[in-house]
Amino acid sequence: MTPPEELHKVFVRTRSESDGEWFVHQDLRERLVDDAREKSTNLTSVVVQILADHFNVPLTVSTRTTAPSGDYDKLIQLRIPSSLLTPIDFAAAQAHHTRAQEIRVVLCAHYGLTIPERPKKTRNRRPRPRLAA
Amino acid sequence: MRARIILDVPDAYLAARVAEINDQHAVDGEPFEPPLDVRSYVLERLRSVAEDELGLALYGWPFEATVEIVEPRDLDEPCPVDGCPRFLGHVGDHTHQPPPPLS
Repeated sequence: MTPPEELHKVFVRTRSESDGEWFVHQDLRERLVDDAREKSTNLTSVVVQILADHFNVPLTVSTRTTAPSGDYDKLIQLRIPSSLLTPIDFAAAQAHHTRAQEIRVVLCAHYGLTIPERPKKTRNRRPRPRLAA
Repeated sequence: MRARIILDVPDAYLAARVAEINDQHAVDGEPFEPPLDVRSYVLERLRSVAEDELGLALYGWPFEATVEIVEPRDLDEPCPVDGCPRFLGHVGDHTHQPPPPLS
């Protein structure tokens, strides 16, 4: 009998805690909640299954049925097996993304949702002093 | 680039946030086993600030950090050594000097 695969805690922030800006489309969590309800499973299993399908990794996900809420909009907390984490990290490195960003991209693309662009937060340049004539 | 960051955060706040995350995960999926602890929570928040907020990974700086939990201190109490507000540069041995650089 093969030992169970190691699971890694992965936290995917969906919204900035500092300024409230969205890292994903605002409808993403609602779509995940709808899918979990429709399939009588839980939100994290839906996420892991989407990732497994995207990276073509055969997985058996948890079938625990829960009633996640669409209101909690800060964080998606996952437990991802090593066999799935490896291709996620590889794709992230290829795209110069972080692991969390790669997951956000895959999830939004799955539902055809766009990822909002983060506004640049550079300070305005000071005007140059005028040289005396 | 390396930096030593001292977070002076009340225990009760950390405990509440960790409990919130554990409770939420039990609703979103399977309960964490073992449950998330304070050290992992702080590490995750630091990672999120570095990667999600500052975008350090975009510049080729992978996030690495260690979290050391030290004796909790009451922010409301002034420093017993010289009465200074503790949250303003109060570090280590009460000298108000920054800690030595990491080796």
